[in-house]
Amino acid sequence: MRQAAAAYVPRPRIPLNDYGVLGDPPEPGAWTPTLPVSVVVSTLRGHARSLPLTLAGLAAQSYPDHLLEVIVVDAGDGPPVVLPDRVPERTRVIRPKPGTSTTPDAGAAVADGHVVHLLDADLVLLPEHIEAHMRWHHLADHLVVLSRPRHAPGMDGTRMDGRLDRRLDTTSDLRAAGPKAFNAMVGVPASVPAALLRASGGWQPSGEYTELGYRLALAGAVFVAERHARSVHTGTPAEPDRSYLAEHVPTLRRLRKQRRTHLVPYVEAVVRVGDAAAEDVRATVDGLLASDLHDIVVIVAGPPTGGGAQEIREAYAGRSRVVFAEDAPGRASRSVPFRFHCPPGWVPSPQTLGSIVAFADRKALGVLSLALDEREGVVSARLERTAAMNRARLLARPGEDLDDLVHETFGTLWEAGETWGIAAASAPRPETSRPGQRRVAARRSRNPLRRGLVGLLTRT
Amino acid sequence: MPVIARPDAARDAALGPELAEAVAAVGEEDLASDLRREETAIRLRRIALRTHGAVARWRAIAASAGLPVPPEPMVSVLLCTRRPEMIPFAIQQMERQREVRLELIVGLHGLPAGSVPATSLPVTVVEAPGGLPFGALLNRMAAAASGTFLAKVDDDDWYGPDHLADLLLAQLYSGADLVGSAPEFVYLEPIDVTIRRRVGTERFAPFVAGGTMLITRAMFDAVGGFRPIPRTVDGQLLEAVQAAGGRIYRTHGFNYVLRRRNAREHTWRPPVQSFLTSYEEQWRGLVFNALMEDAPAYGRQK
Repeated sequence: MRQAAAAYVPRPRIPLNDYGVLGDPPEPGAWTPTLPVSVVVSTLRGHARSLPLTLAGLAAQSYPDHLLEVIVVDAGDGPPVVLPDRVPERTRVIRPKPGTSTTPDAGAAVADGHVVHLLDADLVLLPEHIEAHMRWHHLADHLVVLSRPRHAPGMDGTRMDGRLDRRLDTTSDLRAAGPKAFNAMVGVPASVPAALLRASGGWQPSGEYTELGYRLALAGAVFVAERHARSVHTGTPAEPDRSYLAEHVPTLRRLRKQRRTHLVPYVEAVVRVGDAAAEDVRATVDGLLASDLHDIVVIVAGPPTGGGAQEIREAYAGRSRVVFAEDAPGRASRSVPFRFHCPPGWVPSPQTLGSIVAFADRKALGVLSLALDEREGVVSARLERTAAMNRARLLARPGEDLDDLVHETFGTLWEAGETWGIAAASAPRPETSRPGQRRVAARRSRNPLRRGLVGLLTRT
Repeated sequence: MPVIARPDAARDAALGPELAEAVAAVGEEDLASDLRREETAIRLRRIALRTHGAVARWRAIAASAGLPVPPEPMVSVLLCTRRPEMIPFAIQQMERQREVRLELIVGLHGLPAGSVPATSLPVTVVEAPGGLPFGALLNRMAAAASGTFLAKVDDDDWYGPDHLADLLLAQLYSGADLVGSAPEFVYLEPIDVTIRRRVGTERFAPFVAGGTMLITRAMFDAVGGFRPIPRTVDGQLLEAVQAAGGRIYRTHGFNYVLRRRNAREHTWRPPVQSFLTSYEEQWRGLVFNALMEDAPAYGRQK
């Protein structure tokens, strides 16, 4: 095996998805490639007839032969793939054993290249296609490069093309697309650094490219639209599986109109128990569960060993949205896009989660900190965008503060918790706000003397 | 739409070379944001007032006629501290004050003599036991001062190099008995964030930042100085000036950054979150506007 990892690739700090900071990539033919690429050709949809065209196109690439390998993944749903005469020098066929993954992931797993270039066997590439993708991968190690195939005459794919073209036009080729850039990844060709593909969890059997794009974004990826990498699609484009995407991609909010839970939650709320009283923990968890956002989970981290532990566990024994953990995992789990840390004893209103996530999206924030109180130190809640945290982890040099990097690439902000409806559990709660009800009642004090005084003062 | 001046010989002759040059140097990027626009405005009016203000004009006319001009007014800076580690930082910021004649009155509140480092400024040191109320010590310091104006500064806030000069200008054009800056910029040390608050400036108003008060000697004596109490001496002085019929003027806050320390080091009210309920702009870390001109960053957390 060659030492792909030895190649040096810079790690520039790209704000949001604005890869314009990288400058213009070199013109094809005017630079010297150094990174090996593994092209993974999937024959999943039985394109045995068009495979020779795909391989011939790969054999005619301007990218240097010694840096190019081709892995054909035989889906095994027909007679074994036989390689035609005209193929790139280093081409192999893998045929996963029955019962194992037959997806491009099987190819990516054996790929040696620094970059994995995903193709289907119904794509024909023009000669500078791979080079046009690869010139970007030499500029930064966390880019996902997307190019759009043209459709062979007579093939139906123009509707989706038009949508994507408009999106590229309105976002300066995704540079201005911000955290939503990933949903431009609707299919192949797409090229991804192998390490980033592994970090994202790799390919899933469903074969939904948007879902892969979503997980790549969570891993910290920046998405580049490359218009000069040309290819022709001879097959029929697959329609996305919307119910699968609804379960797996929480940020596609339009697919989640029902008020229920989904496989991958939108927000993972973490309540660290520490030495807090059981009633404070319960107040916070109850507040979170009452959120208008339904697709959330609450992680109760590190329950105490005393009598309070039993009380907390029993209170939520039947609640599937409450999870107990020994300690809060360092990273957000299960592809969750947002994580919200809330200290026990502080209760968010039903609107809090929805409105802070919307605010963080509007401002493309990586971290939103909410100051709640000041005692010895500042007590605060914190909303983290997984994509921003993982981008920061990717970029951080030893000793660097992750939040500084989040600020450089996405943005951080401090606000007051009360602005967003977080109140102390001990504070008097406003009575259920029925429309038309006067809010004065919420301020009533238990102490009769003070109640009288407050009345006098508010009248003056 | 920003209005950018085009070259105009007649106008430039009337403005004078310094102001003409400054006006010509303003580009669209200097007006791109509210912050930049105000920085630019303050720079320009500073030059205009120093060149074309009534006092400046009379002095220029007298000088050109060969007549003697009176000395510039003296500002006595009252710097009172309990923290020896802050003294060099505070003195450094007074050393870089420009276009002003000043003397420094350092009050050592329960500190040993000899805590004051050597400086090019004229210094008077007043020592007092830690038990003496803050207001009483300030009065002792004022008694040792010889200036026409008394300026109170705090040992841990940041001051731009034109802080005192701009206060003097504001005093000239407002005629107020006490002038001060708006506490527009605040560094929230516990969370390492700098905010800009929306505070109305360039107006007569009852409140100014305590660490920026500049008062005429006459008004100071008229109200009997500071109240000899341990706390709230700033607010009490402002109230006393108003009660005595004096006028208070609040000028811009671009020469001043208030340091909001950690609660455990200081009995601070209001709490830090209340600064976040209404702010105009926010920056991560300790961030200065351009008029602060690389203030020493002493004490930033990291």
